[in-house]
Amino acid sequence: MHRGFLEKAAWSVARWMRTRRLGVLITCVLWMFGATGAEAAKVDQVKRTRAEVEALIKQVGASSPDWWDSVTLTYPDTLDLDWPLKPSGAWNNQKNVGQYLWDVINPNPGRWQQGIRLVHFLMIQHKDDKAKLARAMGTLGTMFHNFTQDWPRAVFWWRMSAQYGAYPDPTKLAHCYWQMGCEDMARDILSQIGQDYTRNGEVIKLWADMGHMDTALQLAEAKARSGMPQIAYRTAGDACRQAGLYTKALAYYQQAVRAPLPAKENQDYTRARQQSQEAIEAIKLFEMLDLNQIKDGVYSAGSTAFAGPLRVEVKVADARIEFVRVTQHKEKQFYTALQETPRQIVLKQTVKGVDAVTGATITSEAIINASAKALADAMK
Amino acid sequence: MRLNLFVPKDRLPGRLDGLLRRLGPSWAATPMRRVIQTACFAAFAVLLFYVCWPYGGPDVGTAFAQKERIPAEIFLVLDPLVSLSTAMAARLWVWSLAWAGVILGVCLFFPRGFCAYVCPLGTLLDLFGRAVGRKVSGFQRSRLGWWVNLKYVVLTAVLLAAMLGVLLSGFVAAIPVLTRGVVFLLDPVQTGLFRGWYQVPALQAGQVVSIGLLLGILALCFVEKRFWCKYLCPTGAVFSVANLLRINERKVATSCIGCGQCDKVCGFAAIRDNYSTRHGNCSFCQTCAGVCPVRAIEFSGRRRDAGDMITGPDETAVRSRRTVLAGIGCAAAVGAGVPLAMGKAEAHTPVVRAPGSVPESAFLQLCIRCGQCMKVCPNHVLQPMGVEHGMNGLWTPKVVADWSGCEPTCNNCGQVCPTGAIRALPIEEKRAARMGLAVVDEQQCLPHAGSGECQLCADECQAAGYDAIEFLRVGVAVDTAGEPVPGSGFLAPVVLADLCVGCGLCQMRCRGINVKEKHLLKASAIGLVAGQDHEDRLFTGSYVTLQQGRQKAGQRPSPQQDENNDYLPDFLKL
Repeated sequence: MHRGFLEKAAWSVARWMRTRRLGVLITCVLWMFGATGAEAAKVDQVKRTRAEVEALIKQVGASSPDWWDSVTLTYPDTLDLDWPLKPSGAWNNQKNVGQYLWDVINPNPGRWQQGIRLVHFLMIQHKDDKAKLARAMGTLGTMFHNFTQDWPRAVFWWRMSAQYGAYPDPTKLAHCYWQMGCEDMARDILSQIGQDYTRNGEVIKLWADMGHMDTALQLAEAKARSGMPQIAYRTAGDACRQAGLYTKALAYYQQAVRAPLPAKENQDYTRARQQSQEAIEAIKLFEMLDLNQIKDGVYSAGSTAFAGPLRVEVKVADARIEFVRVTQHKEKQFYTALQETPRQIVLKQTVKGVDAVTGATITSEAIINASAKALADAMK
Repeated sequence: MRLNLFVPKDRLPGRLDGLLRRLGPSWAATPMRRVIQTACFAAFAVLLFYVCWPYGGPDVGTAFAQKERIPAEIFLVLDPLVSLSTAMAARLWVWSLAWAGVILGVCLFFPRGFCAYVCPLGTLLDLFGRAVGRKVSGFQRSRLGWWVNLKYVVLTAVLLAAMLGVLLSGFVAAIPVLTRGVVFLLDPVQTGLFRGWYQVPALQAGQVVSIGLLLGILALCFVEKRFWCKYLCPTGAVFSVANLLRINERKVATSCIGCGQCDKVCGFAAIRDNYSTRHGNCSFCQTCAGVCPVRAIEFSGRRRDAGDMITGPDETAVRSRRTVLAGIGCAAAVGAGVPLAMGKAEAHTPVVRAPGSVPESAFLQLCIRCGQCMKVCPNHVLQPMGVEHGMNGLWTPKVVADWSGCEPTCNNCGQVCPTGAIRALPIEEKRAARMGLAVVDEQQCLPHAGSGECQLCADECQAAGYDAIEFLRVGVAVDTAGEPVPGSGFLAPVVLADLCVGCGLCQMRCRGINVKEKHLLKASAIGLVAGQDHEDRLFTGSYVTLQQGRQKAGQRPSPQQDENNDYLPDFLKL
């Protein structure tokens, strides 16, 4: 009769009913994700001919995505559905559609599908206004591309927008073609483009992704000479890092950091420089870590964890991580990470790819970062 | 029925007798009773300091559940005054009433046996009394005085207040007083030694008072052994009253030689001048029979005629009408006066309570202030209130999110609550039960105020699995063409009221890093508020269902009618 068996029994019945309902829901969700996952994986791996890609765009692009019916159309009542081409008045993310997408939809992955439905709804609303229609279609393509990596649908809507007079971004189109498995189609477009004209070096990145490292690096040098060295070298560094060429990547990143910034402040350039700096540190911490270059000893470093600073000691002997010990911390919750993460690091003999402990992510990551710092310092 | 558990003086084999005698005369007289008492006391300590120590498992909820083989609050629910007074105050069926029924039923056979065999406070007083008794016997004085019937006055006052809807038993009932005092006194020590002293919240005045109350009760041993139990304890008084219905009782045969050995060992002032029994006081410990040199004492059925028995008047029986009236007057003054003086609970700003707490007015009537929830709460999210809301709130648990946040994997507080002031929720229900709502102070919050990037609260909320904080881009710069400048402005946290349960992890993290570590803020920029619309305070029903309903109604943009159900509208079909 301990603490009311009636209440307990009631909970069990309720739980049983819910789990059954939940079971159905989980099956649906799994099926949904399974389906998209499989679709995406296929698209990633399979090589396709031009005709096959065209067929895919026609077939998939014209149909709704799997999640379509599970997402309801949602927007604030204050939103101006007229969506004028040029918003009037001051910045207002509850009134102007573009500003709503920018401030509310973009930062929240949980709202992305909602955002796509809204724009789709607005597209149909404005079917009689060619300019607004074209803009909505273009936005739809961009959202499918950026949010859901839904390449056929992105191309489909971009092509539609072109029919109504918009100019879709050719680099992004090329990216979709390559993702769908047809490098030829992508290369056709990229060759026509020539120089990298983009804000963030997307052309360079795509060449590198497709495995044409020489072309990518040539374009990067050209872009650097044209007055955007931070972005060019950052992108070149990224390309090399992804290909596993860490020394080369470091050299590019260092060039990006050293290049002088223009007198007029440009956020893109500052950000590229900052990203390069962070990449240099990350490579030194994780990718270039070589236990053979570390003398035996106990090394210590700190980082910021959940409730404050945290310090670890890492002991290296005979090119092996002997132990990782959290020597100082202010953590109150999430104790499991304090034992589990050090154990993982010793087990894997590296700080790279150690999974954060579920429910204790922040503490876990702090331990990984501090251990990486300690080892990186030891390599100097 | 004969229930003689004692061992007569000459019955034990020499070596065992010697061993027990070294422990004390009462051990030799009734070893069984001392063993049971020791076992109960050990169980109390183990439950409080081992079982209610929720660390070391895969998560804090499991750590506690795995260790809890018997209910951790068992001693509290066995205290009949706990359930009687809470049920009366809240006018609700309290489940521990069933346990009170069980113990009172057993005590028909062992009148007031709870006090001699089970009560850990009694055992503690025995131990303490023995430790100090010999040294300060000079303090002890005449046994009978005006105070001998005070426990009935205390009990009357407690019950009267309960009838008026105010719970006083938590301040004086035996097990809550002990549990709370021990938790407040020793939990900081346990936490400090085993988890680090930085984990120990500063001692508040309220806690000092509670510890002082326990120490005061111990100090009464200087006056007389088990002074509290004999003359003051209202829980004991419940049993004393129940003794009117006793089935068994202590009897003394006329063969008594009047040696006075029984009177010497009795810890309950249950022996009259002619060595017969004060039945209201006798706790059936049977030590007297064990030490009786002529075996004149027996414990048997009340109606059983066992031949010549000593009878006689009770010197402590109140015969003066004036004394009775004075007692009733005192009880009425306290029992009715305190509720009047306390005032209404609603007059104060709402307090953030534990998840699954019943509505506030009922909560105050049900919460026995035992401190057990605070003991089992990992990281001391629950801390005792002081008198900031008057006596009404004293020692009730409140959520202190500045100190720590409520663990998503933990539902321990409800599991140990003896009266149902906090409901025993399954973990998935607990995760949906709203304690309060996190509110962002947009003047202080770094991104909202435009003074820097920060997403500590949102990260934490996501890591905890609530996903109740999303982002809003604020302070976007616009270029000459009216287009937003990419990367301009900050991502600022927005609390989704339909998902936030008020666990306070966000507040703890903002305070831990931005206030204490980096000194960027004076107080956390995100904080919990309680009160109507922000918390779920239910007696019954599911919080999950409630949350689902909330999400449907939602404070987010409402679902709109989309008449064009075709994904590819007609005008685009080829």
